[in-house]
Amino acid sequence: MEDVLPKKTVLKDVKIFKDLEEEIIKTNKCCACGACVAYCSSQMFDVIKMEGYTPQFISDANVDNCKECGLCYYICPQTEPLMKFINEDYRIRDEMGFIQDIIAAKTTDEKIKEMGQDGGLVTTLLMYLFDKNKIDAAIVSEYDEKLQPIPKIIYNKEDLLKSSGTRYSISSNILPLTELYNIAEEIVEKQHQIYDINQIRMAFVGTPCQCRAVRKMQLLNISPAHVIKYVFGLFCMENFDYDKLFELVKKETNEDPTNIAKMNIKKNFFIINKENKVYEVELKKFDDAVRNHCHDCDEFTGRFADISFGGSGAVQQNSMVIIRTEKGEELIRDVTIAGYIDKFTPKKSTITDWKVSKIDLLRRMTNNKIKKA
Amino acid sequence: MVKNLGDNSKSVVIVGAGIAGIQAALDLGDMGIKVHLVEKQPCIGGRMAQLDKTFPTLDCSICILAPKLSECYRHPNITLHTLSEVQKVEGSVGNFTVNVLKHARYVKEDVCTNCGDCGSICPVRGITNFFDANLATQAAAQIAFPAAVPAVYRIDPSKCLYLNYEICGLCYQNCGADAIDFSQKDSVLSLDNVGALIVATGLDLAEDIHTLNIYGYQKYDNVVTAMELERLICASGPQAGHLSRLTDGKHPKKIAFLQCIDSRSQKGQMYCSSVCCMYTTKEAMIAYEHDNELESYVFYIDMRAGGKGFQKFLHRGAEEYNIKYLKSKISHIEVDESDNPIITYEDYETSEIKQLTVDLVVLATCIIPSLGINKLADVLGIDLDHYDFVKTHPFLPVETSVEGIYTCGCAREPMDIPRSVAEASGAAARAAEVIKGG
Repeated sequence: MEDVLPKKTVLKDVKIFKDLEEEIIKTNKCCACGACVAYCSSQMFDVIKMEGYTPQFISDANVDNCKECGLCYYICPQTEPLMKFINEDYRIRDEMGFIQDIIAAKTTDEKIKEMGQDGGLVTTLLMYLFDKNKIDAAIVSEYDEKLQPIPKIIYNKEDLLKSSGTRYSISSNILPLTELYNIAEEIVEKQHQIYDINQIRMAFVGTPCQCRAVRKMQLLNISPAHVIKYVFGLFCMENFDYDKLFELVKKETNEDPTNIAKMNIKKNFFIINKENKVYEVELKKFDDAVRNHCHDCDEFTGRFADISFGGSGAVQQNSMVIIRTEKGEELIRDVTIAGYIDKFTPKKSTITDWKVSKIDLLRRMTNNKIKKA
Repeated sequence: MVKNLGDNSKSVVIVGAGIAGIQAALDLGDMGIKVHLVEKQPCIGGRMAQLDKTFPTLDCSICILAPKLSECYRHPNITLHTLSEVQKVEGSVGNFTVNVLKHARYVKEDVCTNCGDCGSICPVRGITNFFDANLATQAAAQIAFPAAVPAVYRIDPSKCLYLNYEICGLCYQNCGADAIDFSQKDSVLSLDNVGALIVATGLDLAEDIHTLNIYGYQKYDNVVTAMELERLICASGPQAGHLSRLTDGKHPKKIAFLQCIDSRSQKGQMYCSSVCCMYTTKEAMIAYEHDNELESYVFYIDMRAGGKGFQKFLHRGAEEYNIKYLKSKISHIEVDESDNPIITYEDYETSEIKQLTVDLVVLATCIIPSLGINKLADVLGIDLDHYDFVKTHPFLPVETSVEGIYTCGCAREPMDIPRSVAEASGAAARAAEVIKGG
C-alpha cells in the first residue's frame, strides 16, 4: 500500500463534488444533466458515476480519487459561480433572455411531419446539418421500448427519426459525452477527414438546464463539451420523473408504457396508445411526478441555446423558434434558403405585431412557471 | 572553445528568433559577443520551423533548423527571451538601454522536463495551435510542437481555468517536477550597455489581414493557403503527413496552385512576394512524392526563378513531377456539390475564359511584414517603407534609419531562406563592428 499523501494543490476554498452532493444533489436540486459525471469520467479520474438519475461516488473507495479540481461544482447548471459570466456572454437581462428573432416554422420533410412534434424543426435542422456535413454527430434522446428516454449520440441522419418527438421524463443528455474519446475514434475511422478528435463537431439538443450546463462547460472550454458546435434548446415547463410519471399514467389510463405510442402536452396531457386511443388527462394530476428541481427553475424558453424550440404559441403543425445567437440566425437563414423549412407568415396581423404578441405570450408562460415555483 | 569578450562588454539585442535572428545570434555569439535574443512566441524557429521542406534541395526544413535551435539554446553567449517583446529603447549607437517585457510562462523554464503530464490532464481543450496554422488544437497547458526550443510547456493565460477562475489546478497537481508556478508575473527586464540591435521580425501572411473571399478561402474547406498545405503535408503536422481534403478526407488527385494571391495587385500588396513561384513548385513536388497519380496545375502571371538552381528546379517540376504551368489570370472560385473547387480563369495563351475543376486549391499568399512591426518601429524610432517593411538603402541593405540598429530577413523585404541567412550574417557583422570598434 502506498501512503496517502495530502493532495498537492494551489486552490484555496474550492468547492468540490462533496459540496455538490450537499448543496445540490441531497437537496433535490440536481437536474440529472450528467455534466459532472461526463467531465469527470472523460478525464478518467474514476470518482463519480450516474446511478439512475443521481450522480454519486462510484464507491467509498473512489472518494479519495477525487482530484478536488472543483470543475464538477462549477459546471453544474444549478450552481451560482459561473452564472454571471454566461449571463453576460448570452446577453441575458430578463426572464426571456436575448431574442435575436422569433419565428414559427414547419418542416417540409414528409417523414418528419409524421414523426416529429409540432413543426418537427429540431429534427429538420439536424438533418440539414448532417446533409451539409456541418456536424459529425448529434446528441439526442431516444425512447426505449418502455418509453424511457435514453440519451444517445447519433452519427447520421438515418438514425435521426428515432429521436424525433418530445420526451416528458428526463434524459441525461450530457452523459453520453463521457465516451467522447471512444466515440471519436469510431468517427475518425469512419470518416477520414477528422484528424484531430478534438475537432469533431456535434450538435446538442436539450432542456434549458442542460443547455446551461453546456454553456458553462464551453465558457471554460473544457472537455468533453468543447466539441459541441450547435446548442438547440427545448421549451420546458417541467420535467417528470420516469417512474412516478408512468405510475400515474397507469393509474389514470390503465396503460403500460409499452403500449403507449405518443404523448403530448397541450394544456392537458394527451396520451395516445398503440391502438390509436386518445386519453386526455388534466395536467394537474401529474404534479406529483414533476421533478423537484423544476420547481425552482426560472427558465422556460432556453435562454442559453443558439436556437430554442417549442410548440407553445405556434399554430397547428408549426414550431415556435426563438433565435438567440448569430450562429443560430445564420443556420435558420441557410435552412430556409435550402428549402428544408417553411416559415409561417401571419395573415391577420403585421409580422411585428405577431412577434410582439408571441414574445408576450411566452413571457407570460415563463412568469407562470416562475410563480409556480 | 567559445570566445567571450568578458562580462563588461557590450551586448547585441536581436528582435525575432526565426532563421534570420537565429543566424545573426549564432554569428555574434561565436565572435564572443553577448546576445539577447527576444522572441514573442513561446518557442524559437519562426516560420521555417513550420515548413515541411525547403527549396530547391527538398531538404527537411526542421532537420536543418533544429541543430541551430539547440545551438542557440545552449550557446554560452546567447540568452533567449521567449514570450517577450521589446518595450522601450533609449540611448544611441554603442550605448542603448533596452526594456524587454517578459510575459509569464507559468512554468519554470529550468525545471520543466517536457514530459507532457500537464497538457494531458489539462481539461481545457480545442485551443487552436498557431504552429499548425490553426489546423490542430491543444490544451491550455501547451507546447507548440514536441521538438520546440526551449522544450518547455507554457500555460495560456487567456484560457487557463486557475488564472481566470481560481479553479482546477490539475496541472500543478499532476506535475512530477513541480514546474508549474502560477505566481509568475509579467516582468520588465532592463538591458543596459547594449551596443546594437538587429530587427529580424520576419513575416506574416496575407490571410492574417485579408479574408481572400474571392478565392473562396474560409468559405470552402478545400481552398487552403500554402502555409496550411505545409502543415497538412508535414509528417509532424495535423494529418501526420497524409495529405487529404478537409471536407471528406479523400486524397486529392488534382491540385491547383494559385500564384500571386494578394501580391502584385492593386487590391492587395503592390510588390512581388518573391518566394511563391519556388515554394509552389516545391509543394507540388512533395505532394507528387506522396501520390504519383497527382496532377498539379500552377496558375501563374509571371514565373520568377531568379536564384541559384531555381530555373532547373522548375524544369524538373514540369518534367518529373507532372506539374502543368498555366499562364493565366484567376476570375473566381466556386464549388460543385461534392465540394470540388471550380476555377474560372483567363488563359493568357489563347485569351479564352476557361474553367477547371480540381480537388484542392492552394493559395500562394503574399508575404506581409510582421503584424507587430509598427509598434516596434515606434519603439525603436526606425523608418518603415510604404508597405511597413523596414526602410533600408539599396547599397546598405542591413542598415535602418537609426545608427546602430540593423535589420535582416523578411522584416526588410520578402526573401527566401538562403538570402535571409546571408543577410543575417551581414547584419551580425555590422553589429559586431559597433561592439568591437570598426
